[in-house]
Amino acid sequence: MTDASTSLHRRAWDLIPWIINGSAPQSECQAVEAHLHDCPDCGAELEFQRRVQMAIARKGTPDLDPHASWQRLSARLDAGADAELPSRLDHRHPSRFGRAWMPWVMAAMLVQAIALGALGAALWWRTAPGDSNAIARTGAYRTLSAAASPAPQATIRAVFAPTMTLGELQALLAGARLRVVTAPSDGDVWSLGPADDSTRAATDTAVQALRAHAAVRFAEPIGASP
Amino acid sequence: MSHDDVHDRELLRRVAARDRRALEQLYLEYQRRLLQFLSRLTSQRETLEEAINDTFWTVWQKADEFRGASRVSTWVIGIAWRCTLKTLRRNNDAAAARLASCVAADPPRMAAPVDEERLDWLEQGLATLPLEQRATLELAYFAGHSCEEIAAIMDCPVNTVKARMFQARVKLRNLLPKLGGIEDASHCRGSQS
Ligand SMILES: [Zn+2]
Repeated sequence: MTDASTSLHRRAWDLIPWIINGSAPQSECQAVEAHLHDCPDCGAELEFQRRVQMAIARKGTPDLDPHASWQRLSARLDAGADAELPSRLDHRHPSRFGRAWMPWVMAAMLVQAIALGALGAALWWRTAPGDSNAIARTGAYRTLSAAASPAPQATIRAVFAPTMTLGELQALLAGARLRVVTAPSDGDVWSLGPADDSTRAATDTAVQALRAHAAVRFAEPIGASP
Repeated sequence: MSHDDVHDRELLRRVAARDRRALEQLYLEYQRRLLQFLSRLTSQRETLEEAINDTFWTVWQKADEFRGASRVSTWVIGIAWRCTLKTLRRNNDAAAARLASCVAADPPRMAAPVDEERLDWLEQGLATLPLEQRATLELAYFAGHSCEEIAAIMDCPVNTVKARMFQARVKLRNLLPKLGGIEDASHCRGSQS
């Protein structure tokens, strides 16, 4: 095979998927058309890729009620209000993906978790001019949690990975039937308490649920260790 | 600009103006399409809904930052891809790795298949590909996206898309050497551009 025909073969071979899906430019297609017709390897590959496409096309799609899913998103948007949200801050300050980003997200979570009314949320947003560290230092968390309904007794201490998001923490706590008692104002340690059932067995189950989660660094019942 | 894109841009403009009904409409119009793509990357229903809802959460936040450099659909699917990666990585890293290694340890073997079986084997072969390669194939073959559009969706250079496509094809050929009457996979001499 000459260099020129090798190079044409490569060009044709690379183009095959894009010819199949119809996105290859017309001029490119024309340039390799004759080669595809004459080269047995490319012919076989063309046939093979058509089968790949068939295998992909025939795969079914699961049913997921769009209206029910939308209702859940809508509730989440209501809860988060229209204030600046974590994802927005991320976007403007990509460097905040690191640890400094964590308290900010968690504070937003806390606002939801302790079911603060609009007043509390507004107060929080006003005192959060975008500097997560400043908020963490002011101890705004505690002020806000104190203003909420009486906190349950803390039964679990937990540390979360800095990558954990609001939605994830929300889902985790709901699944483990827990709520936030206090968020960390300096360190990393969260105090969690039961959402309803405060028995020891329920606490152990909740600890197991937390530990099973990839983004949970540490979860321990309070008073368990000597 | 296609009719669909004109329609999508108008919806997105309203979303940027904080019109929740426009977001709902966009959601309902896109949910099935995203589900079709994302369900090929994970079969876990909770992960699917989480990723789709994270996508539209982000659309709600960033609609005013859409500058029209691409089609709205490319932009939305790109957000969905990133949300899915994040969701998968934080939810099922371990589970996905276990699944992948278990499938990879037992590559499909076949004798003289009828066509349906052949497609079944292909489907299994596809499942053994790394996520990025599988997504590239799905976006090309299922959604019909061009190489450039896939680069925009996956936020990577065009050459990376070409390399992933190349690797996916070679891997499938090696996994499934006797498919479709193709007796010898060693003939494949494509280039890695
Ligand atoms: Zn050839």
